[in-house]
Amino acid sequence: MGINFYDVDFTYDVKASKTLKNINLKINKENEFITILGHTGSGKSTLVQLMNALNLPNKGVVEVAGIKILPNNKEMLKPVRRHVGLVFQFPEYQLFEETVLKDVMFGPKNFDKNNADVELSAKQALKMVSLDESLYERSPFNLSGGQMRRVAIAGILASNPDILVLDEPTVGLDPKGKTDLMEMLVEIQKETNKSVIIITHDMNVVAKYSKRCIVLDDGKIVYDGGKREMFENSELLKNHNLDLPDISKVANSLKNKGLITFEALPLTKDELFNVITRGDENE
Amino acid sequence: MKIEFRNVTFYYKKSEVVLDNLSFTIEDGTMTAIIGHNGSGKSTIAKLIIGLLEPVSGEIYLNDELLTIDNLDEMRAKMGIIFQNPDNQFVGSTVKDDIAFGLENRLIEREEMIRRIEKYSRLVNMEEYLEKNPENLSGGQKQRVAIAGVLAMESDLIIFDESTSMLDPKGTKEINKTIKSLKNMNNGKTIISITHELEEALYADRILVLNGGKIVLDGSPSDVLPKKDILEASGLKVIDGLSLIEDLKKIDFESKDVILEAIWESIFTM
Ligand SMILES: Nc1ncnc2c1ncn2[C@@H]1O[C@H](COP(=O)(O)OP(=O)(O)OP(=O)(O)O)[C@@H](O)[C@H]1O
Ligand SMILES: Nc1ncnc2c1ncn2[C@@H]1O[C@H](COP(=O)(O)OP(=O)(O)OP(=O)(O)O)[C@@H](O)[C@H]1O
Ligand SMILES: [Mg+2]
Ligand SMILES: [Mg+2]
Repeated sequence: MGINFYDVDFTYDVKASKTLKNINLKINKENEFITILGHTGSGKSTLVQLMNALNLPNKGVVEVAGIKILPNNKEMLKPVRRHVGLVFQFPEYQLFEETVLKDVMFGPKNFDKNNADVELSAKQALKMVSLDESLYERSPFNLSGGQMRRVAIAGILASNPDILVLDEPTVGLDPKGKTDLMEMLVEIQKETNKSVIIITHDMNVVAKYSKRCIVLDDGKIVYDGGKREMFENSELLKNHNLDLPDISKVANSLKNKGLITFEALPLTKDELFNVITRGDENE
Repeated sequence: MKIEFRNVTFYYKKSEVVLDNLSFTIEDGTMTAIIGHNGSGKSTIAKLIIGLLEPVSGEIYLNDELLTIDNLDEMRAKMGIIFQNPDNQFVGSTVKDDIAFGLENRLIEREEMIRRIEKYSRLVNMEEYLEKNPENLSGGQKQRVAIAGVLAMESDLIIFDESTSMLDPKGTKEINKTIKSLKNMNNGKTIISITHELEEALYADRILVLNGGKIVLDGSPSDVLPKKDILEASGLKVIDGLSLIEDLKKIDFESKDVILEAIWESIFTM
């Protein structure tokens, strides 16, 4: 179960160079909290679109929930998308119904539940993303950018897939919406053990929530491991257009001024708080 | 370009007022960040300034001239906007055509056009993609192309509506530097930056915070960003570094003042 890539290549244009090169990846069905990172155009969105058969490999095998993804096999689509739910980078591409509520109901309806349940789970999902009830009957295209993002996320939550994949889900959300979304994903995992995969450029999100970081560069996986090891490797950060979380930058500047010392680089506010106040206790 | 809103009220539907008798002035050659929760009316303000929407009541003055249907085209030629979704921006079937389109519209000569396409596509690191279809680019590449297209017009006023939200950290830094340099040129551009990244708002001269159709905070980044209560009441948050200062203030520890001062400094001199 889960998602497996075996020696996968992918290309949009057979005449051009490959977009993804020799990808090998094993993602468990349960309790993963993965952040996919990498420079603009490195292949992140392309990679996650292979996970639910929106892209098909040119070489190698992608296996989802034990099913091999093959061309011309329509039967596999439903179970694959039942297993892996994907929120697109641009919510506009995901929205198409006349009203917000209908849009969120589309996913679960597709997995043939009866109608009453569908409306209930759609409304629950819209509550989870804090979308005001007054917007349920509005066209999803007459919303602000962040409101559209919330509807797109609700669409996936309502479908209740085994693994949640979100392509830059915090973009366009206000600071509170961003924190709420991340805390909600943590909460969902606590309750259901579902694996969560997000693409992000936000190092603060990575520092707080990631359990495993996958870094892409020019279509190749160049790092797959923990965040602490990643953030402490300044060469790696520099070579792949990554950065430190804001708090770590503050920590380094205090260290350079000789005000604090630490072995492990603080990544979050709480960690830096402890470093600063622990210094005191040791005196 | 100087921008003045005088008692501007706007709604899409009468029962849901978006901007409520709003007045503010943005001075020529300054950089202003507009922040606010989702749906607070930021993009609406941008669309009013470029004349895509009209106030229900109240007036908008650009360079002390009332914005009307009659001078709209003339005014628009001095403004550029990068929309929140870059796809709403693209008209050309190649990146090159797309940047060229805006320039043609402004009757820029051919040679100058070629020079600018080259200059600005290089500035955003997209010079290798000139012949590609903008629809087939990654999210961050689309944002870069949209930025190049608007910068190439060299307008007096440039509005960025969350236009670096999908760039990698290095790209974001580079573009922010470029934006800052635009402002610091001798005939400095006026910049409005709509953003949810409060760390990015640090680059601005001034931050406006929008809530309930009104401006609830207005001041320099170091004035506005620590105002926890008002920010939270407006559906926003304080950034981690400042919230750390808040937490530390409540307890006693060795060289407290020096450390608090150093944290403050490292935030506002990033
Ligand atoms: N539909 C498409 N047709 C052709 N090429 C494409 C298409 N979509 C993406 N590409 C190209 O494939 C490469 C990888 O794109 P992808 O969208 O996967 O990048 P990404 O890592 O998600 O980048 P970003 O952080 O900017 O969203 C890019 O060079 C892009 O130009
Ligand atoms: N075309 C439209 N028709 C009806 N209502 C709209 C339309 N566009 C926006 N609205 C509403 O107007 C309000 C302000 O929208 P606006 O897009 O200005 O918000 P914003 O501050 O830019 O939000 P975000 O941070 O999500 O981009 C929102 O409540 C939104 O739902
Ligand atoms: Mg992408
Ligand atoms: Mg907006």
